[in-house]
Amino acid sequence: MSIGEELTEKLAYKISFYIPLGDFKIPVPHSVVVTWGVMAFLVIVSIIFTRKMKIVPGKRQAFIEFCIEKLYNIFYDILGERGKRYIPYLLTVLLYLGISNMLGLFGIAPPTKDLNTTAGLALMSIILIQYAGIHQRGVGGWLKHFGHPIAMMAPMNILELIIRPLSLCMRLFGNILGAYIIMELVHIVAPAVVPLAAGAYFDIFDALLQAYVFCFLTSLFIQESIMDDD
Amino acid sequence: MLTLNMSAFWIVFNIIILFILLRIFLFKPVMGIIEKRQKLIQGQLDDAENKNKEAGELKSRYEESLKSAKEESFQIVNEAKERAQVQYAHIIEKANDDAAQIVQQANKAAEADREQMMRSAQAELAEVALAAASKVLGNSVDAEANRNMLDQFLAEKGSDK
Repeated sequence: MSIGEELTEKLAYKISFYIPLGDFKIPVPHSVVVTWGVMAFLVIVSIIFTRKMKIVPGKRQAFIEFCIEKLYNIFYDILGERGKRYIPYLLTVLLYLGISNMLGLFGIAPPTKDLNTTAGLALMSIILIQYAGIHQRGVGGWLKHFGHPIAMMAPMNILELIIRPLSLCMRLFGNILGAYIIMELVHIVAPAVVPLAAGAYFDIFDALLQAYVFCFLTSLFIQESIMDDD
Repeated sequence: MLTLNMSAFWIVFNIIILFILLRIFLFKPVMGIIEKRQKLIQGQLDDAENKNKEAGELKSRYEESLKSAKEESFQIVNEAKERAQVQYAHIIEKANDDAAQIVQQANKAAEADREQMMRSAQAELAEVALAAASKVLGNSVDAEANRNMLDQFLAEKGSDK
């Protein structure tokens, strides 16, 4: 098997199994199964860390409190008091992406290398951004906001409805897929020490950075849609 | 590799489930405990402040009452002093009066004694003189007449003195 064939096989879009629903069969892709694993991991870790919470925290509780508070404050600084209701969602996505992107480290294909995953996330982001705008300004104010700062900008602002989720989706997908391809190539070409160094960059640094960028941009767009016009 | 299909909705569904689960198991407990702690600490701080304020009030009240007690004691001492002064003056006056009265009485008694003595001395002297004269003149002298004469004499002498 040549390198090209090996790589193509690794990158193929795989369906793990089908859920039968009468005549119709729902395909469950590999990325969804991995996502379930990530979800289970996050929930179990959460339960372990938040068991028996006390006013005076132990080491375990202090650690989780510190982490959550730090992450919370990152988004709070961007969104402020008005947008703090969206922070738990952003934290959820951040934790999910952070864990998912790093899965390459354990030889599991990250679910974010599946375009469907990032597209779904970007879709949710743009819906949330528009919802935040409607929630803050009302439907009229939200519609009027498309003509902001001047009416001539309306086509651009409407285009942004497509451009923003597309860029979010493609940036994440491209980065993770690229990192995955490079890591697979490195594994094939030099399986000994090199994957360690390369993995530190692609599977840890870039993975966390992309998770952060995705959530950071989403929160920035939300902030933009809820801030005052002046 | 670049497959976009309906399975994009899987992630929407999954993220919503994950969001709900993390809300229940992570965000709510952590945020809840942080909020609870904040409230507790805030409550304790407020409590401490209240107690401080109360203590300050109590202190100022005690100080005031101490001051008033001091003033009162001062006043009481002053009053006592004044009263003592008055009593003292009164006693001295009374003593002076008494002494004066006693002296007066003594004087009066002495005067009376002296007069008495004088009178008895006069009477005795008259008798002695009469006896001497009757000795000289014999018993012929009229006792009544002589006595009168002598009294007159004595009275003259007495007034001369």
